[in-house]
Amino acid sequence: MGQQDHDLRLYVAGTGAKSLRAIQIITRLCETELFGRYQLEIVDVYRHPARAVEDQIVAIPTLIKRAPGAIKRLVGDLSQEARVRTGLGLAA
Amino acid sequence: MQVSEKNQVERIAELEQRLAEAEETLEAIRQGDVDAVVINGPTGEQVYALEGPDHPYRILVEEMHQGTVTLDPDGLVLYCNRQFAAMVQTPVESVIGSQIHQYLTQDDAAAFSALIAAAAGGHSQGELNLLAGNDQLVPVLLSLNKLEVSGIQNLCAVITDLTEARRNEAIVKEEQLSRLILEQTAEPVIVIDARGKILRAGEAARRLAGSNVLFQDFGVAFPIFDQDGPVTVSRLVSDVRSQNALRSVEVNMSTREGRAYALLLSASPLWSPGRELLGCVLTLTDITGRKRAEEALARQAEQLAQSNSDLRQFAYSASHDLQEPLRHLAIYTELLQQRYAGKLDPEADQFIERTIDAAHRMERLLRDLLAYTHAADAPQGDAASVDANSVLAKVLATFEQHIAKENAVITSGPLPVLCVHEVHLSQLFQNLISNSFKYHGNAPLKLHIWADGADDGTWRLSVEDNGIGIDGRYHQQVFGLFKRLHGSSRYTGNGIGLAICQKIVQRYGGKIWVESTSGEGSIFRFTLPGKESAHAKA
Repeated sequence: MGQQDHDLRLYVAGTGAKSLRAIQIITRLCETELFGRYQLEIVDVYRHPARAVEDQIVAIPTLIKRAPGAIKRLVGDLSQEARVRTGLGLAA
Repeated sequence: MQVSEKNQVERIAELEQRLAEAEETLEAIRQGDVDAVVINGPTGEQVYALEGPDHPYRILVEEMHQGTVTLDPDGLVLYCNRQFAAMVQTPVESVIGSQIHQYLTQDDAAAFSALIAAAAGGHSQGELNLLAGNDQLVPVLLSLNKLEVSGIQNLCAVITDLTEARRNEAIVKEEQLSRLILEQTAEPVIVIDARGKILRAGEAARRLAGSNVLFQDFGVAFPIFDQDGPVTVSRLVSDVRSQNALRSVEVNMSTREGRAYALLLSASPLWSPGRELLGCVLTLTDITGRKRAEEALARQAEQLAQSNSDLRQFAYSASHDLQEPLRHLAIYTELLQQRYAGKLDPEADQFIERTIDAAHRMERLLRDLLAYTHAADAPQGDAASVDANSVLAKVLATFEQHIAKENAVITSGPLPVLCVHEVHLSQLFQNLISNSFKYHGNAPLKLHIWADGADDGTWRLSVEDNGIGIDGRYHQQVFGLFKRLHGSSRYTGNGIGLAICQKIVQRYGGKIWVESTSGEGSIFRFTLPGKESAHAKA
């Protein structure tokens, strides 16, 4: 993985509605905008609750951008594509 | 001083960032933009769902093809999905809160209780019928699961509609049934399409063809022909089309292995709803055995007829040709008697006397034999309806002198109309009455003639006399012909008359017999066909 590649982590809750939507949007965005230049890890807190501590997760779903640049977190309505793009550091 | 300022600026930026994110999180939670929150609980991180993540499951449950209900232990419907409501033809809102027993018949209610009891082990499954709102019965597979939620025991049922499966089962069963019938029937049955390809052939058909004929051309598998030549598929199909069915048409078949069969072909068309010919169902009944038997019988009959004809010819020419020399014999012996009576020794007179007697006897025999040969010959035309009363009257007229001389009393009951030749009936009466006169004994002859009928249209005529009677031992022999020819018996006087009677009666399919005891008269009985009798022969 290159230095400029996006390192993303998405925390979801089972088949929660918002979680599913977030998975959908973010995966699509990554495939179209960051093809081959990203790594997306999807963590189900129902299966791995302890991992939520790593990134100090309180609310689900939460998207953490660990690279490039400063660590950024995105909480809440991840179905807004514009918001996600900003959060990922992509052009609006 | 600058370093700490720079640090402070960075620190403030970092804090601002973190604050922003924290506020964002809080805002998100407040707005309900989250599924769940993660909280450090007593046993580690706990996930608390806000908007139930079972929502997709609920959607799944709503949309799935099977019906499902959640029931309390008493059968109260706490929840049902759309499918279940559709199965029982009742709106969802009406189902929820109603009793499940509303949708079960009495018999099925018992089955359902059994399923509930069996579900105590966690899971049970069984088939029963649901009673739908329109009073239709829906066959279903019921799968029950115990469901414990917050200490309350509920039941979750998944219901699968078996109607389609049952229908297919029925179709498969029918298919199996027709296949079984096809296989088991002793007659060769073949189903062909409109072009003659064999779609189905039963076991018997395969045996007839000598091979598995499926998908072969019918004309190739069963090379049949009738008097017009080979029965091709096109001829067969066009005949079936025009006549709508063929019934028992005689055909022949010659297989490749050289076996020949006589068959009866029947064909029924299979029409599509649009009146298009889809194919035919054919049956080939093997009548080879029967035909052979018929042919053998016909040959036998022919031989018999020929043999009979030969015999008659022989009898005729024998008697005919014998008559002339016999005549000479009689004449010359009579001349001998005339010229030399008393002129030779006494023995000679006796010899001549005896010779003349013998000659006369032989003449009579020959005459009778000729008469017997021709007795029952058909005169021109078919047997007509003949009034027995008038025939009897005519015959009695010929006996007028005898009747007067013997003081005979002859009576008769009403006689029917018979389907015989008049000349034959005449002969019958003549012979029987003549016998009665010959053997009437001491008392004056009393003769009574009457008739009774059977249900099949035949009549039984009886000629009763008060003559000397016939001992039981001879009841059969009196009708004999050839016994006579072999020499004298006690009944030389009977003559050939009774034998002729028997021949005549047999010609019409009847019977003749005598009921008599020695010294107590006789009743001669014979059967003949009436007007409507089935036995009537031309």
